[in-house]
Amino acid sequence: MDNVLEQFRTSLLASIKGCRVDIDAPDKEAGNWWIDVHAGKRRMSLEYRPKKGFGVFDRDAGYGEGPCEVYRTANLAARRVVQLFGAHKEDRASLTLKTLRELYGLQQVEIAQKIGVKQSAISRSEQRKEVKLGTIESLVKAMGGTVEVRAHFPDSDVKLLVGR
Amino acid sequence: MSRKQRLRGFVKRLEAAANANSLAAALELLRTTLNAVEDEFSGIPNNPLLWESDGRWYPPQEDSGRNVPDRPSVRRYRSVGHNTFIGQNGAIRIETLAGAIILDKAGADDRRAFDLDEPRNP
Repeated sequence: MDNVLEQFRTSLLASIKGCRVDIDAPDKEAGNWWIDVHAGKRRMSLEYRPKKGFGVFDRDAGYGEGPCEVYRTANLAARRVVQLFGAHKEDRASLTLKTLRELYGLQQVEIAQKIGVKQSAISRSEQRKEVKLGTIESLVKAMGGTVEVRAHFPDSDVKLLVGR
Repeated sequence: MSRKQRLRGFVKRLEAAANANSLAAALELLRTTLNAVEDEFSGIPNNPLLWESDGRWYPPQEDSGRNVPDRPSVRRYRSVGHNTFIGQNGAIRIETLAGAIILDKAGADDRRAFDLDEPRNP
């Protein structure tokens, strides 16, 4: 097992009380590893690809379906798993602006200072059901990321320029 | 079509297909059958090089293959919710991670994957 995977396992064992982490190793180290995390009655499977990172799956993922989230560091992947194990059932489906901010260990007030708005404005944006694309871009940029909008069709896959 | 119906359609087509005669032929049967189901029902273009989910289901890749302890004639291909066992004779067995058998299809010699490394009856 490589150091990254060992670091991931150690983080989980330290962060989730009573959890068990089973490693399903490939024949060759460069192959695809599977990690099964058990805690109480809950179980979660992740895939680890040494050159790509950790894949987190939708809880209803079908046969041979890929991960819905990919994390390139053990630390971030472990924090996401801890988040998911602590989440209510209805909050496990996908990442929200709030859970993304928390995943990166940021406070609303830090984001607000970076954007130049009040903390209450960040709180409102995180709670809204509909958020403007420009607001999402500002929030994600303040967290250190970027946003892109893509459109998928049966015969094409394109990056969409909107609001410009 | 729901995920359950897609899985049922995939398994039904595998059951109806002629038995494969080698591990490579069984992998090819899985690939062509799943791709046909997904082309028909998912509406998502086939992009097997993509790792992150596009909503489409993909057949087992060699990178996810493992040897099976005490079963030298069988390879196991892991995915998020399933283990797919393929025998050197072309047998295919799909189980959920909890061990429920979804498909147990014999190879061309009529032997199933988990019969391969067992001693034959006299």
